[in-house]
Amino acid sequence: MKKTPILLMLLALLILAAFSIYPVFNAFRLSLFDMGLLQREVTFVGLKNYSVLLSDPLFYNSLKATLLFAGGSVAIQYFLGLFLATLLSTQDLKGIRFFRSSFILPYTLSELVVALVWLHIYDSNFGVLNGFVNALGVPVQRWLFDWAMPAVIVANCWWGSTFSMLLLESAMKGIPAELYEAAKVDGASGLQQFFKITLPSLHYVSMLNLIMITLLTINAFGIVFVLTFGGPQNATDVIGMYMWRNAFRFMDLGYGATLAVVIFIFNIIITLLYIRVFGKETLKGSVSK
Amino acid sequence: MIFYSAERFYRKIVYLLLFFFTIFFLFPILWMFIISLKPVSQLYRFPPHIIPRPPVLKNYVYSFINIGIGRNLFNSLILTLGTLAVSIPVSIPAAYALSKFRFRFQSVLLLGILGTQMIPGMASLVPLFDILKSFKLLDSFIGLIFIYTARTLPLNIWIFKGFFDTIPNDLFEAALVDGCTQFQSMRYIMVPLVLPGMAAASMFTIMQSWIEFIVPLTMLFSEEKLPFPVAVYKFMGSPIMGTNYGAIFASAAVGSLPILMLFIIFQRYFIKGLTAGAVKE
Repeated sequence: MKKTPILLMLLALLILAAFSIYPVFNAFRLSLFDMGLLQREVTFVGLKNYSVLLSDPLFYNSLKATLLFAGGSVAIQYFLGLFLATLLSTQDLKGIRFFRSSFILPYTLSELVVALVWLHIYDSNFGVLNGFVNALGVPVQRWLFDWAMPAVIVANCWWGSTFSMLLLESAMKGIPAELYEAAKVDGASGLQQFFKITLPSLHYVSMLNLIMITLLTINAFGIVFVLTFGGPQNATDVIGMYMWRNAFRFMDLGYGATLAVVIFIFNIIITLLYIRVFGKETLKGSVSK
Repeated sequence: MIFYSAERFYRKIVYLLLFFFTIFFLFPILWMFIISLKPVSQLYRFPPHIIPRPPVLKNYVYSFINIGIGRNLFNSLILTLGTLAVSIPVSIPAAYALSKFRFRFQSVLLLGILGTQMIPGMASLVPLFDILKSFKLLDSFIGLIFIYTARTLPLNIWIFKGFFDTIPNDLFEAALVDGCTQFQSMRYIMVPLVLPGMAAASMFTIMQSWIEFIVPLTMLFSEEKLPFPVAVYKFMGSPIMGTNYGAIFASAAVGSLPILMLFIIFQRYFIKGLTAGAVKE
């Protein structure tokens, strides 16, 4: 093995090993211990944390909340992204740069800022959403209490749909124009062109996009953190949120690590599931490109 | 580009929808700036006025003088520049090695490096907290800079590799024939040619480190070290500040402006940085 390339990569590999890869193993290790957040003493307890986990109703609740939150967010983000990308791909669109920039802007904000703005929009006393709803003659709602899950999903999609749109739009640009011209000659309508040409061509990017936005949603709980902190009555207590509370609020690092391990495994299962659904061929095709 | 049949009716609907979504995506951002300009007497009015009358800068003054948001913006700047200073110089040689050398396990290494992006950052919080604790790096900028670097490295390496790949090997071999060392050829030939890649990678890195919220919230404890998103969060929770929406929104607005401006000016590189991992152009 040559020395130079390894030397050139050494620092990058070291940093990734210490701060990206080792944490995964460290989570497994910590989950075997009973340990506080800041104390020195730790006790090896084997798989005790896991047996606690399996009989913890709040854990099952967090799985349910995660499924709802991620399911709702991913579905909306994918289809909204696809829809916006299609709109932006219209021939000779005027002001395309303005529209695209407007759609991307939320993505440049901190999760904290996103949540803060939506917190104010949803406010039950003087929020602008209630002002709007009121003007339509609908009674004022307590959005973050009675509609908590839809509310956090909307805020999350407002922020996260951009990524999906950009990915799908740049993939659409790569579809050869001759395909559409040929279809037009054959008399295919716009809708037919979309379903027969555009969608099939996006097969690989769609899989990649779905994997990425699913992982992003499961692991991004900053918006939930600020908007509801898991409430009301744990309705929006997604697993990342529950993990954070256990580790850094209840100071139970061992149990927090156990939940982290579950999240790691969750992510692997979901990725494999997508690959399974879209077919292994999709993945092979992507590697050979 | 897609060539749908572009009848006039269809185009009208497209524009209508685009305007609708523009409002959906822009309004909350505008709303943040609007609230930050409202005098206190108008903050708790229902239904709310859209236009502050008259707009005032009092909230901004309060945010800088009474809250001291300047300090937090400075902290964010240090974290961002620190990450930039580590992540870019570390990813360039790595990308160069992966692009211009042939060695065993090369594709495995590349996949491994890109694969670390798939490791969920939030689940890593607990083990990372323990790692920083044992390195005595909790409550320090250095610990955070390492975490941010590890998160931005894979994409930066990928972006730079893409640029190195487009540079013909002949150029590089000619330099070697002329007596350059490997490092010299990298320094004098390759680096200047990947400057556009530098812009994309920098944009991505700057944004990622500037907006990070949960990681610094977890890893930093000292008030004087908090970056702006964490500081704003702490004001929201404090009994005195918690009700002063105007000042909180002014703080959020000044913290968001730098990245919004950067984005508007360097949009092209931003988009390249965001989509680099997935689509080869």
